[in-house]
Amino acid sequence: MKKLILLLFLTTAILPANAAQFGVGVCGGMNIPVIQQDQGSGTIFGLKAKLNLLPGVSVEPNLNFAKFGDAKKDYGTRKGSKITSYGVDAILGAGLPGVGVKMYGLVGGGIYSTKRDNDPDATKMGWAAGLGLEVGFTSKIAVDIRGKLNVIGSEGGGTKKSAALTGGVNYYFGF
Amino acid sequence: MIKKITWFALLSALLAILIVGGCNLVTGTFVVDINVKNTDIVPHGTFEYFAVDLTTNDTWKNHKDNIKNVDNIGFQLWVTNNGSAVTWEFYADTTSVSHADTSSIRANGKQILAGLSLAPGKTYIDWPTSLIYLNSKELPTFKQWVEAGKFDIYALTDKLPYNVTIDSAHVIITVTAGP
Repeated sequence: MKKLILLLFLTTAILPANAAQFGVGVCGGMNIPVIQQDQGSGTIFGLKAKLNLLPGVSVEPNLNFAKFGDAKKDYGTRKGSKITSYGVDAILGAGLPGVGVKMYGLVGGGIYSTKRDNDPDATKMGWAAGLGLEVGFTSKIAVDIRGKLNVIGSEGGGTKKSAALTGGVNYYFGF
Repeated sequence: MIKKITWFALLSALLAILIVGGCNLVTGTFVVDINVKNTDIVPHGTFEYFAVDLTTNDTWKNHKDNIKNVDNIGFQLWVTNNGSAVTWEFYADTTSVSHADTSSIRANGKQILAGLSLAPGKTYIDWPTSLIYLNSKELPTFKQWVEAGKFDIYALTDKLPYNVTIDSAHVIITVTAGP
């Protein structure tokens, strides 16, 4: 998995030199814990680049800053975790930008660093999958709406999962 | 045709990743909380102890056979210190062991809370505050006790006499569990 991510990073580093066509994007939205009783819903903010790899397939190196909301219980309230992650997603079904609506699927992986008051800091590998909708208004600007499930490895062989529901804007260069 | 093959390959890869990842997709984080009745807190001269019984808790019942990790153990405590300021600590041990004194507890039990200062008078310790004092190194040992469903908690002070009374307690155990 590490090699795959390294390969994708190298790919994205090489591609712009050969083809000055790429996009950048910013997104924000909700970060919802999935089967995590000790977290509340919070927010997520992300930055990404987007590069066309094959017809209908692009890669997205991304950097995200997420936090969970407080866990409010009868016996007290505990602040949620903060997660900084970086990784690469493959976008399947939305290649080159353009006017119109495109649905896509995504799958990817990344490194997730988790911090929480009174818990040891943890950095773990994780993977993600999701679906999205990109609405192109011009050949350069598109609105991007997506749902993404993040699955982060945890101690003992389990996982911590969250759903990121985001909306954002992509801007494309060279088109 | 090449386009179709490419798509098929990509979707197959996606499916494979989902299947591999899906092996532990349904693990989750669950919180088991147990209220300890005042009458269950037993004074013992130089320490206090209480039994924690998880076996009546529905969350524990649902996940006891597939606990992967004990993430943390916290407490909600109402305490009265009838003496001078002391440092408080908690140890845990199986219910099959009966400790007669603090030396035995410190030698054989597992410390779970340490360094909690108690001023004279009443003190309330909430869940997040208790986690500041958690000795997380002992959590792997604690896993087997949580799986068993019953264990004892001992409260000790750094100096004697022991003048502390636990008025009420709530034990909050966060676990990762799943197939």
